[in-house]
Amino acid sequence: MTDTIIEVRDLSHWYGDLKAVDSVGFSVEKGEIFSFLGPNGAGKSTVINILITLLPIQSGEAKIAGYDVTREPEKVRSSIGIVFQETTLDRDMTVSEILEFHGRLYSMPVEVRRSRIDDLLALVELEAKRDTLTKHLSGGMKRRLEMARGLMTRPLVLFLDEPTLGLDPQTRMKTWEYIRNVNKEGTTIFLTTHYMDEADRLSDRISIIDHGRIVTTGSPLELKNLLGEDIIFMETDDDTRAGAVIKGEKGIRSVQKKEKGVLALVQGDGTKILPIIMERVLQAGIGIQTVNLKKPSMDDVFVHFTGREIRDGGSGGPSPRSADRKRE
Amino acid sequence: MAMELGFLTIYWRDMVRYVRYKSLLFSSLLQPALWLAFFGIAMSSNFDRFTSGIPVPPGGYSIGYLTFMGAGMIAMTTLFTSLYGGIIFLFDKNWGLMREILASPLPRTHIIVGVGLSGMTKSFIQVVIITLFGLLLGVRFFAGYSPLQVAIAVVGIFAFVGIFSLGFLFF
Repeated sequence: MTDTIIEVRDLSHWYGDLKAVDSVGFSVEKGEIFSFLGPNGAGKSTVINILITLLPIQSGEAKIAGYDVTREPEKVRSSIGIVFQETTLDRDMTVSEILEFHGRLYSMPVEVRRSRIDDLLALVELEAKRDTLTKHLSGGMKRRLEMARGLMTRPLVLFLDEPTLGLDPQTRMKTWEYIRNVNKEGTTIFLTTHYMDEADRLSDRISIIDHGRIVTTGSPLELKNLLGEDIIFMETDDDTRAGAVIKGEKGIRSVQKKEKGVLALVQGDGTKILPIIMERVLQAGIGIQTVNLKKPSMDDVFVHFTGREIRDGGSGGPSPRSADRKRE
Repeated sequence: MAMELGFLTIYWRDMVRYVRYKSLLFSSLLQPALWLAFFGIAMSSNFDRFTSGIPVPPGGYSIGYLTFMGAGMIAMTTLFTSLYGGIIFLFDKNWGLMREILASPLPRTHIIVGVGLSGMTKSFIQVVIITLFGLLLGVRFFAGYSPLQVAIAVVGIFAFVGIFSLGFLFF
């Protein structure tokens, strides 16, 4: 049975004149991992902040676990857990105090609190750090602690805002593992990320968001299949003519001329089609410098739908996020 | 725990941090006492020499400068402690620590009440230290009072400090 646990309709948000979120609508099924994939400043955090009731809804509507975010914010708040983008741990409190504080904020009874703290510290492998001040934890440990905190109240939905931002590759893998485990135990997960691989490997469904709009939604496989099964990239003497030659071939779905070569999306087995089209191009008297055949990745999907590479790194200039920080 | 006691959570956290932050705790407790000791004793020996020649007006009675200063000391310490307590609140918000609390079901008013109470408690702790230390140095806070009058005076001091600290915490 599939239940919709998050339902967002026609959500828009402005920071002054800047439209950060532009009629976004989506729904998340119970038990799935749903990702928002987009560059910095695409509006991901704004949507999360609205859903977790930290920003008021300006237009549109949102429901979490059947509760309306505007009309019943308390009920929404007690059904969700959040891991914020930036670290929000008190430096001068110990690991167990952080969890204790959180449990008390949500009015959990003492015994439940105690046993939950033990369970969660075991889950995120922080038992040995129980009485360590959080300022002495490593970045990865802090993230794990924050995740444990988010799970403290057994929320129906766990919001993760850029969960692996600034972590090393090993810690990222480990964090993904925790996220998967948490999901297996029945928690619905809503995560935002600008890492392609993260969205690809972790999510059941992805919405690609750019400039405040949802560009497309689907499972990682569906999205990649939209591009065809293989991608061929060729550098030739005359890319325009080569493109024209390739276009007519069997099994080629579409051809795009790029800055330095021709990109062809293939329907079917690229390894078989490649020799044929190479021959055709050579027959047409066009020299080939390089050839590249690969399976489409999320990067290709992203480029296909937004027409550009993801703007990576934190230095993306003024974004809705920084505007939102100033306002708070 | 009942929802109505949610402010105790905020209070607990604030007090944990107060105790945890060793250097701040130490200086906040020691500073007023030292102030009283050094300034108080140095200045009172001067002032008392001046004023000893002035006749006491009818109906009034004479107190030492140190005693006069003791009350001011309490007021000043309360002022600074409370200002700092209020600033912590601001830092919490700036560093994003408050987002956790804001996104929880805890009513907003409980945050204010919790911070207010902890600020008041911090002031009370300091007042007790200053008063005891002052008595030790020879401040005559309760000269010639009966035990009942002393009790009333103490309640009065705490009531004043409580209101004063709340005032400076939030304005």
